Amino acid sequence: MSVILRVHDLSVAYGHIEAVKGINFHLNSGEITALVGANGAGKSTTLLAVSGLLKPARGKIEFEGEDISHLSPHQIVQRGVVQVAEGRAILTTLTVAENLQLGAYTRQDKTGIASSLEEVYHLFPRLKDRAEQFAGNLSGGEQQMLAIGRALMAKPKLLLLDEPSMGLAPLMVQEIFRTVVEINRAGLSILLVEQNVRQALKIARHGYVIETGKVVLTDSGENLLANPQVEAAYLGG
Amino acid sequence: MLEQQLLNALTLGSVYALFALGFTLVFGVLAVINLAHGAVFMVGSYAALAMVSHLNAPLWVAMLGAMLGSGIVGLLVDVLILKPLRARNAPHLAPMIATIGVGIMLTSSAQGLFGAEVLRFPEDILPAGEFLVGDVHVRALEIAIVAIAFLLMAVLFVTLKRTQLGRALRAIAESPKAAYLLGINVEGLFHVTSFVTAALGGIAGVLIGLNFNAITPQMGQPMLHKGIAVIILGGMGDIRGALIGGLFLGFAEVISKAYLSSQMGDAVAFGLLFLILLVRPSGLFGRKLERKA
Repeated sequence: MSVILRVHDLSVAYGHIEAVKGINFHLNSGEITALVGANGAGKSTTLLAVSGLLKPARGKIEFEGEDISHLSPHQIVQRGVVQVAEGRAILTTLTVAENLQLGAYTRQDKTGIASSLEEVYHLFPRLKDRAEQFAGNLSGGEQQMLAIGRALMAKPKLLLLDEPSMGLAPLMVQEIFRTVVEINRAGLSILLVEQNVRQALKIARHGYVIETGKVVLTDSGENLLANPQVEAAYLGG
Repeated sequence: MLEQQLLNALTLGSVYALFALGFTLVFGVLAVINLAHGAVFMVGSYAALAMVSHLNAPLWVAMLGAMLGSGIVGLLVDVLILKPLRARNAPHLAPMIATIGVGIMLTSSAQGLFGAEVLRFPEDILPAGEFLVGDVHVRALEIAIVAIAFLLMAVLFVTLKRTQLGRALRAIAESPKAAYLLGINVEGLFHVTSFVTAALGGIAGVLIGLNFNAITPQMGQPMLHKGIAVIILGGMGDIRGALIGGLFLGFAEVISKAYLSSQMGDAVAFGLLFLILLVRPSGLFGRKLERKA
């Protein structure tokens, strides 16, 4: 199994405050890996650094063997690393269809883009029904579908998902996680950041537990779920 | 002679709209109130005049040259001044103040190069035709001005509405962070926007210079005030608002000059703007929506 993403000794600071303090993790090609931990542990900061929106103070981020830590965000998307940001970052003043079209911004192949759109509409039929509506009029769950669908339009090699379950009703959370598993089965590597530790570890092959900017525990998703330490801290005993 | 005044108002209003459109687009995409936009307008008219009188260029070539020249000025302002401020996360007043400085530099440079006196296009270069429609004297020049202004605005509207570039600009206007994560080269599109909006400001300067056939280093200043009024009236960052607001100001100004007081035309026009803002404080198309990170 080849490594698609390797983060080595990564530190990220906001001014003088270090939010991520030398973390190491890697993700195997074709797998789901979860970064779990409490609010403020540094998970989202890590993802923003991988996407190039925050520059590392120290360390390396290797994607397919290339150090991408000094590339600009659009170059990182061009490499195939696409993030669905926390809070979804839907463009509310654009229609659903326009959001999806922008997802393919880095692509030129018209027929490929058209077939990606078909796949997204197949995955989320509701988006097709609402294609011409403003994205701001969608429900929270539909916006999350749009955010994931839009990321898929870029034909990513690695999908970064930041808190896809945040603010959603339990049934919708189930549906989003089912979809994540489905797109992973189709071959996409996924780095999942979640506060919903139980759900995340259920679908992840590997997990990393992050506390105050450091990796404190790593194991398979299954073993972490059964780990008494994890259970006490994150799964409500 | 209401019809005659309406034609004057349409001519003036269409150029105001063109000027304000660039102004509002910079605000929408770069989140900067570019107070050098009036000076760039002035640069456009001097550039066209210089090409016509020193290079004997035909008027249409001079117009293209003016767009290119003022566009380059806009691009340089972005690369040399706004970009370093962005890179340092300067608070939003900093770029605004910096553009005041740019405006002063451009205005005094024009004065140094061309003198402070009023300059005019040679009469023989202007489209000379004039014809009667009913009782209204229509100058070919006015038709050309309205046609050019509306053509450019139509191209801009279609680009923003229908193309991937336009969608990307609207994405940046709503959320630069989302735009980055979509793989949009946000810095690159800041440069494109700066160039295009300055080019539109420059051609507006040529059109006003032709309409009144008077060019001075100070001509950008009243235009800047009108531009600010128009985009506030239309709703900051909204391009439909800039179009409607520009036309409105042109009509208010011309009609009040013709029927109320030739000295007080601007006072009446701006008074009307104020009244509209009392009713709609965020402008005609203003959204309550706050810009996201």
